[in-house]
Amino acid sequence: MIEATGLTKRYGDTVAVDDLTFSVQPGVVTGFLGPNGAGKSTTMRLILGLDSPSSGRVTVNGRPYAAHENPLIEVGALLEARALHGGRSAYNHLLWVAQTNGLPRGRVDQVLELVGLTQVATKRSRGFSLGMGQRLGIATALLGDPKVLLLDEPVNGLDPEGILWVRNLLKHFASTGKTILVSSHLMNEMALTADRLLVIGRGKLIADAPTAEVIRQSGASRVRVRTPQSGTLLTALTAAGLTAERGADGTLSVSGSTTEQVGELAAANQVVLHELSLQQASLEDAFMELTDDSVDFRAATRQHPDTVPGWEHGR
Amino acid sequence: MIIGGLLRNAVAAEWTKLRSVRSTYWSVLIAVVLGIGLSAAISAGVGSSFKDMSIADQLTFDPAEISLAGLHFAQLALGVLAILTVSAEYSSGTVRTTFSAIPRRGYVLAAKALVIGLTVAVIGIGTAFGAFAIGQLVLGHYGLSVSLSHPGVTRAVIGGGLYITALALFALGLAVIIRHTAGAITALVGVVFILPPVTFLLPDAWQRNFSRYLPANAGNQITTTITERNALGPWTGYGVFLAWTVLFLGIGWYLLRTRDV
Repeated sequence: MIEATGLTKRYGDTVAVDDLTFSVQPGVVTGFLGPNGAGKSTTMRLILGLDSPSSGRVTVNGRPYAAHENPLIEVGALLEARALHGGRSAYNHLLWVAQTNGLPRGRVDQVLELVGLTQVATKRSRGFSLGMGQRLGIATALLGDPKVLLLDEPVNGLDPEGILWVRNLLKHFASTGKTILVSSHLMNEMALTADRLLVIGRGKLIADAPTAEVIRQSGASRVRVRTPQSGTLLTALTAAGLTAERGADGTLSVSGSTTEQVGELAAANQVVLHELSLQQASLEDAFMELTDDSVDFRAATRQHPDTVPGWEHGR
Repeated sequence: MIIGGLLRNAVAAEWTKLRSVRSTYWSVLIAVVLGIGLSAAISAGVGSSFKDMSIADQLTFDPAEISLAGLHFAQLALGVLAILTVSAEYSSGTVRTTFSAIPRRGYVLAAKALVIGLTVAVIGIGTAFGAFAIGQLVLGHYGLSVSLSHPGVTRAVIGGGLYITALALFALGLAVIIRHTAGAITALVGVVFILPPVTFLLPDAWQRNFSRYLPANAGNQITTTITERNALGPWTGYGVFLAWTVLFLGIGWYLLRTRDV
């Protein structure tokens, strides 16, 4: 279990992590989401005691990370897949990590087998692909058979088979009662893997809830309706205080409503419906909605294809 | 005992790190070749021009020190080796793995110092005896050789290895403070190669009160059998150099404990 209380990290005037309070529970996979620069990696470094917090505290299994005698048995972490000395073999990399905590040599062979790197164990890691580097990073995290796993972008660079392997691995470890905190930029992957989500933006906690609930509450779900009388329905929807957009194919997309409400409105106005359906939001939609105000770096064209902020008015 | 266990684990890991990369073997090879080869070459050069020297220079001629002259270059290779054990961790990012595996960072520094110190001591003392043996063979050709039984000679030869050992630890301290390979090597070259010749240009009073206490000036005295004007004695000088080394390692240790990784 990971518990953060009022966790804050400032670098000069910049607040990287802003008063975070959360707990990551054992037995489930917790996804850690946030836009670039939201403070995910800083939070992970704070959990591992690599950075010290400006205020607040964070504990792992009830104690500050650094208070554990052999921390690799408590926490396995993958921060950067390429954090390897290029001239050292995979075997020797794992060996020195094992030795720091007095873990037996046989454990090195076991994790190499587990991640499928036995064949290249004696090769220098400089020649490894990104995917092989990730596997070695995951092997490093698993060395101490830890109770807590902390993985920053573990599927980055993996092929579909590797992604599936990580997903099953994490689900398996969660089912054995381990605590798992995993970040990823691949929303569809997170929707499949994570039972709970911890979403941060600009260092602040935005959401801490089960994945399904985050999606449901995001407001990104829409009602899709197709009718030959779209003008009449649009007027009725607007009169009811709802916002609807007309799609290129003539359908209307209503946000913040339900199929029941739209259907009843149509009936009351004698509008014929050819289609009425709920467009369930994806985690990606929910994420965009949640973090809309807290994105630091964004391509200018994301909100709308033909409005570049600052252009309209400047012309 | 957990403390002993922590240090033993940290030393085992540092030893694996050191022996598992090629740069270690290159550094050692370069140190041995330069240390012995250049000592022979310098002995030959100085031996052949001895008869042209002034009487004063002939009287203060120190055959032991001349035959160890190649160590001045070997020290750089071993200093770089010490620097890389720290800076390569920062450049590759393994430093985060290291400090999350051993959160008590002082043990990491202690283990690095032990492993580098012992390795360099063995290589350094071995190279010093090799350089002395070949250098004396060359100097003997000009009738200028001394043997290990001459006063101070054995101390000077072993001292050559001890000096390089302290220098490697000094370099380790620089690397922990600076954290970048190029920066740390520049600082080391500055202290070892740039400062000493500059200080010889200073007035006598400066040399007496200031220059002779500088790291390389003080430390090198242990390789001499004739103490030059304004220089410290062999062991006093070495002691001063050790004090510098402890100071830099101490600053490094303090920064290591307080800085984010």
